[in-house]
Amino acid sequence: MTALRLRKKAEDAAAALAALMIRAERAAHSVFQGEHAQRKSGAGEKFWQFREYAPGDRSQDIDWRQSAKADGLYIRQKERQLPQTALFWACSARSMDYASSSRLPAKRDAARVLTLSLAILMTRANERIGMLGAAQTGRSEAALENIGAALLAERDAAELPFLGPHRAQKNATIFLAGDFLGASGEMEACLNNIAAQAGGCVIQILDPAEIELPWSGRVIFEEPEAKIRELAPNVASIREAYKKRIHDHINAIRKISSACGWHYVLHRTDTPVDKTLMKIWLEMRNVRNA
Amino acid sequence: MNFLSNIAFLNPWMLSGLAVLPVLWYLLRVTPPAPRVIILPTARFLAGLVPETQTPSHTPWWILLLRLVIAALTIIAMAGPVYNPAQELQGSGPVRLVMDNGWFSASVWEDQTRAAFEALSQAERERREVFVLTTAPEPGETSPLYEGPMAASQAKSLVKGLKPLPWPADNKAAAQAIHKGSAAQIAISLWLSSGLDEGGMKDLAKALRAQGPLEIIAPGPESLPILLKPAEDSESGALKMAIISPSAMPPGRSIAAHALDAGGRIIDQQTVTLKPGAESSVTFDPPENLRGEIARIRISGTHGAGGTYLLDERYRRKSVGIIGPSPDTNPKPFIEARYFLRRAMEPFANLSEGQAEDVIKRNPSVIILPDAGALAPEALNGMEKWIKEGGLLLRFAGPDMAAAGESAFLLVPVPLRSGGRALDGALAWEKPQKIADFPETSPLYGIALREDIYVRNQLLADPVPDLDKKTWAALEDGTPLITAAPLGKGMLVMVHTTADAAWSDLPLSGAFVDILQRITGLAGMASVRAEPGGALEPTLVMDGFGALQKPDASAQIIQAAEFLSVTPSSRHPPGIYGRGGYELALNLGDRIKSLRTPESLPAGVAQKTYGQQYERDLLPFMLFSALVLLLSDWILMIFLAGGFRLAARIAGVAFCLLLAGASARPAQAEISPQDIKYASGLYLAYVQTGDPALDSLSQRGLENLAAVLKARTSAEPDGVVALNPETDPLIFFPLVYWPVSPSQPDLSNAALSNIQNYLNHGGAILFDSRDGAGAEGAINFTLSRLVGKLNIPSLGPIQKDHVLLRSFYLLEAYPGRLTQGALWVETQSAKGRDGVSSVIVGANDWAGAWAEGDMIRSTMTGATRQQELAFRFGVNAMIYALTGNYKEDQVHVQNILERLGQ
Repeated sequence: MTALRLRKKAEDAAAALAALMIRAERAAHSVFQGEHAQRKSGAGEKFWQFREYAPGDRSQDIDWRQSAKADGLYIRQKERQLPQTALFWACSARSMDYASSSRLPAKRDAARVLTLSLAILMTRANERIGMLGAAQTGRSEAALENIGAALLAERDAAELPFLGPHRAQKNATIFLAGDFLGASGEMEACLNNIAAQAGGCVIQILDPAEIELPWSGRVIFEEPEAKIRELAPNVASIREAYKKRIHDHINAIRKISSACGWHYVLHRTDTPVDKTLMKIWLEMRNVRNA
Repeated sequence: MNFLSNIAFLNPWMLSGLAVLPVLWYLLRVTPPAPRVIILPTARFLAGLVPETQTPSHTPWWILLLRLVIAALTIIAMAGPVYNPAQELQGSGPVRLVMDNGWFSASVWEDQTRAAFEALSQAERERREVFVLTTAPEPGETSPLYEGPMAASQAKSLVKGLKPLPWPADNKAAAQAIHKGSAAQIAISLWLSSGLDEGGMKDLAKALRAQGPLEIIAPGPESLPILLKPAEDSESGALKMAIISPSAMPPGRSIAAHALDAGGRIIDQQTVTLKPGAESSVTFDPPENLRGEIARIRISGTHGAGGTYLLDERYRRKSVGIIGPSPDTNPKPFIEARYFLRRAMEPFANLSEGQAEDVIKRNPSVIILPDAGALAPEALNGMEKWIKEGGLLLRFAGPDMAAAGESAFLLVPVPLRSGGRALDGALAWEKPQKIADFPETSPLYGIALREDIYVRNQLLADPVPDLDKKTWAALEDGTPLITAAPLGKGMLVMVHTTADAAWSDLPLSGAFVDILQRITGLAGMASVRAEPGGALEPTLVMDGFGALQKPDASAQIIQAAEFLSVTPSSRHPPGIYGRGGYELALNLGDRIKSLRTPESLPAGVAQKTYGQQYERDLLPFMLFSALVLLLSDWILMIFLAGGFRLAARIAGVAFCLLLAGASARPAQAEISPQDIKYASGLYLAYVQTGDPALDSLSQRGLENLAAVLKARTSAEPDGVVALNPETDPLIFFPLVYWPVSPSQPDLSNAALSNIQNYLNHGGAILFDSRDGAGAEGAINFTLSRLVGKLNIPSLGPIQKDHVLLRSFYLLEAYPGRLTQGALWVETQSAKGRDGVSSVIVGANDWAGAWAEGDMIRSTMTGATRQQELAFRFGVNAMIYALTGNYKEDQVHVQNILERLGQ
């Protein structure tokens, strides 16, 4: 996937989301508005509270309409809002190159598109964005380009994120996209480490074939990088057992995420990216509102 | 069972291979298909999964069956299966094959060769030596082919090279060839006969019988040969043909005969029912203009040289002009020469009559000039020119010519003496003379003359040295009656007596018709007439199947004098013979009178009929079925390996194709009547902005403009149409007027692509921003909001000499309701538009000016001149949209005129 195509796909996904975003905004006004409510008075757009006028307040802050209703003079205070930082990480393991059919994107491509779409939406919402572990964050087009370049350039086949010396900023939201097919113990250790610093969302990307095992007959399944070869004399007969295993694994990841207070979203590569984006939004909003 | 009992095997021991099949079954059954390898990142989750059911994955039974059938078919094919195996040949010595290959073999040739190959295949199996004898002489030779002994395979290639020859068989020559050949005893002679006896069949049968047993195989009575010939009672020149068939043939068979032109195109077809042993005649009556095209008659189907009859000059209709005084009147019966000529020539020639000039103008093949005195010099000159170019002038003498004397004796073949010769006068010594038989050198040779024809009066020829050579007919006392001489490429023929009954009885006899026909037939053949009795070379000859081809060295020339008695033979194949444009056809049908079947044959000769069923080798069929099954097995394997998704995909594609095919037709049929209306007339169109006042202004403005166009130009608009680019197709309108209004909502992508498509395919849009903006670079935001996304070439202010300002009126300004607005056109037009701007952008609110009623309110300067100019601009814009850069030259007309002036 070339840089241009990746960017275009991400833009398309984000553009298709525009209508959804409007709906989402309507539903949860504050979600991803860019400025995040701090639940105390300060500089911001939203009304926070009326307070009685005290000497030293600026006279232009007096809300005359409110004051007219009651006896005293009232000051209109706005809620304090701060920009947030979103950090991204996309799994670069070899297994991400897998696509069960030529019609479906590889998991790696899905991860890239998802990550960049999220980044685009974040910049539109005036958030700061950056790659997890990278030194710089920003809210400009250059930051987007940095992320795009980082996504395309990744070479080390890392199955799990590694938090470098740069500690994530406070207020940061971390998005981890990958297939997370490794042992759930490693995943737990890694996530606990990161979750100690910031909240975020685990986006598990799986190919439908990995979930459904749609083949039949006599098949040898091969996993080249792990050097695993499994002969299934009759795939149909072991399908149910396999499905149970893979669902157990998915649930394990989900549990690990929620145990850390993180969100979890499963993305199947045969579902449109914008649908998953919407799911991520709703997920984040629910918890925030709760 | 009948089918099975007719199958024999050449190598039956191969069938023992079938015993291997059960072993094959066992081997195939226990070897499951190889597993597929599939890459799956989650393969680690499969580790140690135990299948719930332990069904072993075997090859499906139907695939096993399919493969066993393939194996069985291959084994059976190896065993050499034969359907309807041939009978064994008699005896044990060499085999002799006698192939009839005369012209009559063409119709049964297929049967003959098939029987020959069957016998040769059997001989090959029995490893016998073979002799091959044909009955028709080889081309250019007198004796037929006799080859042997040789191997059967060699004989096969020899027989493959044999063809029926277009001349009769010569059984006696064949018998002689046997005597000359080796005297070895022959185990069996097979005579593959055509069923006809051309004479000498008995002799040949005896000769064959002398060397061993003989078996004659003949066709059934229904496939005996037939012959096409001219009908006995046909009038000369008429296309009446007859088909004769052997009497052994069953009656009632219906046959089609075709008249073909030289290129083989069928001009006429007639159907005839055969009468065995007799002639069944068929007459062709094609349209006059096509009659001359007919080059041959042919019986449909394969009937060889006997079923084809070539036509020569004798059958072509000639155009004949008769020079006479009054062409429109009917001649008086039995008195005028024209009457006799007409009656004689109408059956075989296209006649026309008239003054000399008129007749020459029609350029006929033959002009007849009966008894004329002195001719006008113009007529003489015209006629001489026409003759030198190849015409044939036939003159008759008469009292006028005799009276005119020397002055009438121009354009005659021989010098004439003044004054007639009266043989039957009161004061004459001489008796009326009979006509002598035509000499052999004369083209008239062979015409029968009745005894009672007398010539009573004639013009005499001067005795000049070469008079004999020029004489075609003479009286019994030797005085020339018909003389001829070439002139240029043409010919002069003179009959020294009258064409009516005044001077002779000749016009009353049938010979008169024959003479006229012969002479007419000679038109256009100068050389033969110059030298009668020359040799005729073969120009086209027929092969055994009746097809014409160039002759090879074996076809030899025929002396013209002998032509009528020559029978087609190995030296003279049937065909067209001639020289220098004069052509005669040599046909089998002209020479062969009847068809006979063999009467009696020597004792001990076995007789058979060609079988209906022949030996058929089943090996190719078996191998082919095995191959087909193998392919289907292979396809099945692909499906099984690729799962049924591949099958589903293929089926899906096929279904989509079917659907596309099915839906293509109804989709074509759906054209709305409105579209038809718009496409069949000229309509002015404007874009609805959604502002009712503006829309009605545009409507009225365009209606007025339409009236102006109708009154002043040849463009006649049928009406005004309001368009919504979101829904309406634009392609029907040459120019769309688009008043830009801020109230118009943004356009959808569909509307934009609709507009873009319109502009890309030759449409033009006149945008009117209606704000009078004149300054360069002033941006109309509404316009850019509406159509900013369109792909429009860069625009620039209009030049003074732009075609738009020249297309009808010569305009200096382009005012509308406002006057100061700039006008923008494309600086570089899109490719393929010949420099015609697809977009015109202006600001002068032309519709406001065109809508008359609003003039007083809106025209700022209040002058009707301004309204007139606005209309002129509208006319120019419309003509520009209709004619494009047609008027571009008009821009340069000043320069052109200046240059012309110099």
